[in-house]
Amino acid sequence: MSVFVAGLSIGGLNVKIESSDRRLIKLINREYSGFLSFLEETHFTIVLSSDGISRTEDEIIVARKENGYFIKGEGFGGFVDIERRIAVISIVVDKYVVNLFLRIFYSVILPFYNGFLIHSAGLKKDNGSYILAGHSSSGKTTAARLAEREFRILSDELVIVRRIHGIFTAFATPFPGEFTGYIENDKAALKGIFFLNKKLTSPYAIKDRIDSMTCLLENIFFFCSDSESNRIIFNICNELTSEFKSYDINILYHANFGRIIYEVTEENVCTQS
Amino acid sequence: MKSQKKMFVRSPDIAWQNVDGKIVVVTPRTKKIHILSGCAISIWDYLEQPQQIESIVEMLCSEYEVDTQQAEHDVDNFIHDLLSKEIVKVYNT
Repeated sequence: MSVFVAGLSIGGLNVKIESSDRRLIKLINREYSGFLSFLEETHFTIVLSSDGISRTEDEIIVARKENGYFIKGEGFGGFVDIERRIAVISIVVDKYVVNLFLRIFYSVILPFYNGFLIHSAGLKKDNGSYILAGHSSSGKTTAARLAEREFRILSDELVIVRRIHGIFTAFATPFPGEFTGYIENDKAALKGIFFLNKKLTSPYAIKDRIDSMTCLLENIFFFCSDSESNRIIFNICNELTSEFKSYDINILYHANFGRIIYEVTEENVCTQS
Repeated sequence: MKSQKKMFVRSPDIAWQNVDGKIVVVTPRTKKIHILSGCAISIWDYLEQPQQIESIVEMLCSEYEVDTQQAEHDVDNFIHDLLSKEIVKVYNT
């Protein structure tokens, strides 16, 4: 039986995807064309199969089981073995199902690579990145559209934040919201954390650390029912809030919110080494 | 008080951390964030091991100048609040 292969690079993690179903590999090559990679180093392998699975309306379940996680969702299910760095998944050949699976898969593995997936727009300028976190309808896509001329857009929906060699880095993702502009597989050292707040009666306001930590955690895309993974996410958020000041921002309050983001973070020299 | 003889302990699923002197707790299933401060932190520290409400009240009365009856009422309410938020669970031996 032939095995077809694709390579994805998301959040700096190279994932080799194998399947005997050519349609799945074609789908990945088509839908994630900006995030394909054939680098030699592979962090994780996913073996996909479309046998014996149908699309159901299952609640997403991620449960710790021995050396990994049993995961199940609408149209996919299988086991992610963290120790052996391999996931064996049955999945429906459908771009929405594959997209949801990948979001959950990255949420599961990222803590083990010092990172997480956060509901956030991501902007990049001058080798620095800025995240604008917020729940649904908070204005992430609007922020991306308004900032498009001045910043490179990393995402208008979900950004990956990882600590690599002591440096917090924000990564683009192929998980967009409604932004239709081009998103390149890019990254940059994190320079600023902002929380979208439409009710703010000033352009921006500094947040205290507890508030900042709470808002970060509230915007984490997915928590597993697993204390080990959650403790890692907690630790990363704690480190983030101790190293960065964060701000509420009302992107509609000022004609050029991009300038505010840039100036605020330049004024307040971050302590990141 | 019905819950006096039950023992309570921190839920194993939660993640928490002391941030600037306050306890920030995440309950993964509900994805809710909770902040504990003041004497709730003393109770939180105490709940690292399974405890009866009676022993929590004793501890509080020895640490703070509080009326025992009032403390019993407040601790009972507080523990049940933590139970409903899945931050603590009933300890089964």
